[in-house]
Amino acid sequence: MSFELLQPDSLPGALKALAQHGDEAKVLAGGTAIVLMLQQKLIAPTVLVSVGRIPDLAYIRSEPDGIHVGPLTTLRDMERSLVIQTHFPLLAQASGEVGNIRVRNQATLGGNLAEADYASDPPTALLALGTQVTATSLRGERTIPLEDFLIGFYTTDLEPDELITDVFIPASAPGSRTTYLKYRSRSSEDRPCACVAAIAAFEAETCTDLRVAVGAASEVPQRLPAVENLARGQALTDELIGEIAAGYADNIDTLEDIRGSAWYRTQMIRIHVVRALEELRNGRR
Amino acid sequence: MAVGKSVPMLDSVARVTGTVPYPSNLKLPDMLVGKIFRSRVPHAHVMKLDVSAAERLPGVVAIVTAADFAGDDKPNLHFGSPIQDQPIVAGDRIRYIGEPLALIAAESAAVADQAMDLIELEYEELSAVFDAEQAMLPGAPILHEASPDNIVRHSKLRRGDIDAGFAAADEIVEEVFSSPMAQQASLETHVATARWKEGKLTVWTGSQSPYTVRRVLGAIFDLDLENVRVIVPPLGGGFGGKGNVRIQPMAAALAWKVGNRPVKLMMTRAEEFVTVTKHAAKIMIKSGVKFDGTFTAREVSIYWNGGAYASSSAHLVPAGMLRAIGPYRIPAVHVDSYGIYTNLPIAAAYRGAMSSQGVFAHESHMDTIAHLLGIDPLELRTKNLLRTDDLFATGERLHDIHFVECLEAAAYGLGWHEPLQSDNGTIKKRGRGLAVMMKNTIANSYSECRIELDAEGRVTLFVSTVEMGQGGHTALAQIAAEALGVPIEVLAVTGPDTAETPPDAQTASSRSTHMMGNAVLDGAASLRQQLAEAAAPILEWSPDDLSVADGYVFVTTQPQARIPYTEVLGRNNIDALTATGKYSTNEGKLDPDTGQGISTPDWHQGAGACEVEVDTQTGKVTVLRYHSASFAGRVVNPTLAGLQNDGNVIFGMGASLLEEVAIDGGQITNPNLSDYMLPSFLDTPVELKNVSLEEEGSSFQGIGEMTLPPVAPAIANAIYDAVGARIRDLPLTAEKVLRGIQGRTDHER
Amino acid sequence: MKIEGSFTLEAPIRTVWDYLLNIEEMSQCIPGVSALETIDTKSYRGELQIKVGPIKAAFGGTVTLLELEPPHRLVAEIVADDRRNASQVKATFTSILKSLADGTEVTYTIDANVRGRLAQFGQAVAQSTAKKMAAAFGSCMQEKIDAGETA
Repeated sequence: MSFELLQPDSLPGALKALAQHGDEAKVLAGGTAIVLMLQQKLIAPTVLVSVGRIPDLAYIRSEPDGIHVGPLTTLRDMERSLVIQTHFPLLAQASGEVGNIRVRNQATLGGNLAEADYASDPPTALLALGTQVTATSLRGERTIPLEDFLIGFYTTDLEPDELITDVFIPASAPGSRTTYLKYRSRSSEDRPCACVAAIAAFEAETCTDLRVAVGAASEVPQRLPAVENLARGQALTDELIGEIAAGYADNIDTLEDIRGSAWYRTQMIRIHVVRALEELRNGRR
Repeated sequence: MAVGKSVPMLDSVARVTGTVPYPSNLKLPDMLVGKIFRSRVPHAHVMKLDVSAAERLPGVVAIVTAADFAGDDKPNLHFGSPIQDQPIVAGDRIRYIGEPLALIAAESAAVADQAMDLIELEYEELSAVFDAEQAMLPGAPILHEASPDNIVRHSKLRRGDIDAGFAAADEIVEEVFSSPMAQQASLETHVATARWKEGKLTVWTGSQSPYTVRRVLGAIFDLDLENVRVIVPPLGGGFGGKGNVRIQPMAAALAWKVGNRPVKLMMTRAEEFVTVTKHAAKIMIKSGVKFDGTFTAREVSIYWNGGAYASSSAHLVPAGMLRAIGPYRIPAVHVDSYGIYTNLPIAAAYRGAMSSQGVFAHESHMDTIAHLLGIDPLELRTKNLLRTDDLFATGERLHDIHFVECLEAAAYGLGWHEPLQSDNGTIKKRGRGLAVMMKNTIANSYSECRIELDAEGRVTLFVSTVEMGQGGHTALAQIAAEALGVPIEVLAVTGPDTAETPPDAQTASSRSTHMMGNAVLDGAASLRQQLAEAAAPILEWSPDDLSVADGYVFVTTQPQARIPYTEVLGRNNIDALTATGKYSTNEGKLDPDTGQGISTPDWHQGAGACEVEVDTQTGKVTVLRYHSASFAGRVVNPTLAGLQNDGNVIFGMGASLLEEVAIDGGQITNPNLSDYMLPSFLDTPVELKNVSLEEEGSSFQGIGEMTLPPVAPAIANAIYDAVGARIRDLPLTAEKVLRGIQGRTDHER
Repeated sequence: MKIEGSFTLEAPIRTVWDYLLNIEEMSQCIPGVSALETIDTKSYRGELQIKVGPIKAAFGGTVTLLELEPPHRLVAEIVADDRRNASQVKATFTSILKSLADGTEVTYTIDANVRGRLAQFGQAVAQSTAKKMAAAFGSCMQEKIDAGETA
């Protein structure tokens, strides 16, 4: 394991380093994922660009249309943030379900998204919330909807010279109810076998908007707008919930790993979408 | 009285302040780093192994290959206790993925890693076999030409007329159970540091068997045993995986080639998975029963997957045979226990060696029979459990038997006959299960200690008992303190160090508190006698008229005529009194054709009962309450004994619900503690209780393992009670339970 | 691990078979394959680069045609090493062609042993990577066949 460690103390410095080394460089933030990959010798970058000394990349900033979260914000800070707890409780929940407290104190939001590990909690919650990722390089800045950002196993839309510089989470409709369900098939500290993030807005009994993201069961977390739309303007009856759950179970190409077979994951999607929607209908905010 | 008190572990402060001198923390001046170049194929002829380019790399000090062992004046390549079939590094034949081929000693780990890339290996791949039963079939790939059927050992037990037994049965129940390969998963991985100096070899290592390591290293290097010194600092866990001889020969071979500098070899977590594993086992069990629950016959066949070399399988296979029968009155019993070579890493002891596989089988089987006959599972067991003076399947007469008490303690603690909390038609269902175990311990065993009392009243206990977190040293100190009539505070325990501490077989099979505890009693008696003799001239009485207790030698009939130990030594100008204590068991021999004879001096006895909740939609099992019981004879330290019992339950929950080494074509695919799932403290039952049963006049019995083997069947039985799904294949994963629920045909609640 | 899948080509079975056995042309359709050279009529040497996120593998090895039952069945053995990741893939590739009304269905089974460090990366990733490669292979073959027909 031999690489050059760069520790730029400014964003331009970091972007310059990435532009210079391209694919041979890897970004080090909290290090919870990349250090494991380095130790297991799965990756062998020649340059490691540590972003820890860049100022002002850890923040949670509330604005009228949503919140901006800095890429170096730790998952523990997100879990404990009053703003997030108040306005995006499912994100606080999902952040608080990752690994254990030692991991959450170290892992960052930017690192979590850039790693694109399929068996991780925050991406699913963020997908349901309609998150946008801002990536910056010396070439400029662009904003990418999360569904386009996450491409496949450990694969994102980021170019080698780009760095995540902001994560924007738009405000949900007032009075929305949300939930995050993490299903662990093994120990209480395991990664999810499947997870469901759901947000619904209601007028009286009528659901005016529904967003459901299912994660950890396929390459990338998935939203199925056509299925979500079944709920629009409807009361969430047991039958409708069953129909939506079946829609997710039937249309997601589930994967098989040590936490469960593809068949099992399909069952778990159906059951947990039902449980999530029942929770929303029954009034939990 | 120091015995019976919950004194803290002697090194408790060091444990919580992080200053325990674990062998992995050892640093010696000029120490080199050892690394292992391993095979990536499961079975092959080695055509060429060229390390010359690696040897030339600056910073590489030495590389050991099988070529270093060629020649009469060279060390022996092969080792093993008792069968010497394992090469220190593979020569012309590779037998599993991960097998060491070359050992590198370098100035740094980075250099050793670089050297690894410069080693050239050419081989011709052979067909491989990974399944134990397949390995026994004609035409299967042969691992060792000396064993053309791939059988390491076949143990047999034949008692009674099996055919008549089955003919007399009202029902015959036959089931097949399986347990996967698992990992002992000590927090500290295997580690050994070796140094050669003036023809003498010193090894610092995390081992449960220091004297076995010494003997085997002596044989490899043809050294007199006084020239081999094995030092064992406190271990970060053992769980059976650090018994016998593991990586010590590699460290010693590296140091031998290097010559004048110590070499430290420490396994990464991934390497740990190919160093030693728990035997995967398939067990076929068949019982004949009468409608009233009386047993007429039992037949058991066990296939232990031993991996590529005999190692511990050779002596564990017969033990596993006895541990799969069950503690029941059965007039006719036949058992065949096969240890089998396959192209996998070696398998060896795992806490309660060879018990959990067999107990899972016979205790699940008992519940199947109980449900078939419509008899309460507790009642079926207590009706048939062995009692003192019964004959076991070996034909030996049993003594000090407490299976019924253990099982009832666990069952009544749980509230076996009380109504279950109602399910109310919800998706979560509750159920209860229980199980009991019996285990022989190591027969023909020996323990020795030395006790020293100095003129300032300090007592040092020299033992080769390994402290691996179980509190063994603390328990021995308590026994010594009580036997010598001194406070525990004056006690220090040192060892193992084969140059300083007397021989002991090993720290395994829950034997230390019993075997070494009795050796300590013997040593303390001898020391008291010396004190009496030294005090006799001062007190002007015959030694026979003197008593030694509570720090004083006194005249038995006139207790006020007394002098403290320190004064006895001081007035005699004695710096220290030293006594040796010994304890041995000589019983234990079974006929190889029939398994009849005496198998053990004592029986390990334990039980467990639990209540689980099963999510019927996901199959996920939550163990809500668990009560365990073990027979302890006399408890030395209640807190530590309780932690052993509870620790076993948590440890066992991992193997029951979560743990399985995943193997694909001989390659382990989850060699890390993220994918190989151990239980978390968050998984422990809300109600976790234990009891260590004592008996008036009984001596110390080991309790390191007894409550572990019942965990898997107790949970499996509770799952059946809750949802009617019988899972016969460990671990009891949520997915298997869900499939069981969906495929269920019987037992509607 | 076993990886199974299928794709359909709009061409008669014989045409598909011929294209499959034209190793040089065919190999251009496998994403990441380069430097293919013929050892003899039944065996070839080549390199294959695979990238999954940050993890890159560069395998060098041989492909040997074990069984040929024109135009229905093909079995090949692949043995390839990735030195940097200390990994090896040993795989048996079986392909079965079936005539359909409007084309040919190609079903494949890969019985693969991944050894070394990459093994712990998991079946899910391997499966998905293989399926993506097969899909890309299928569409590339279709293009070649179409181009061949028009030429």
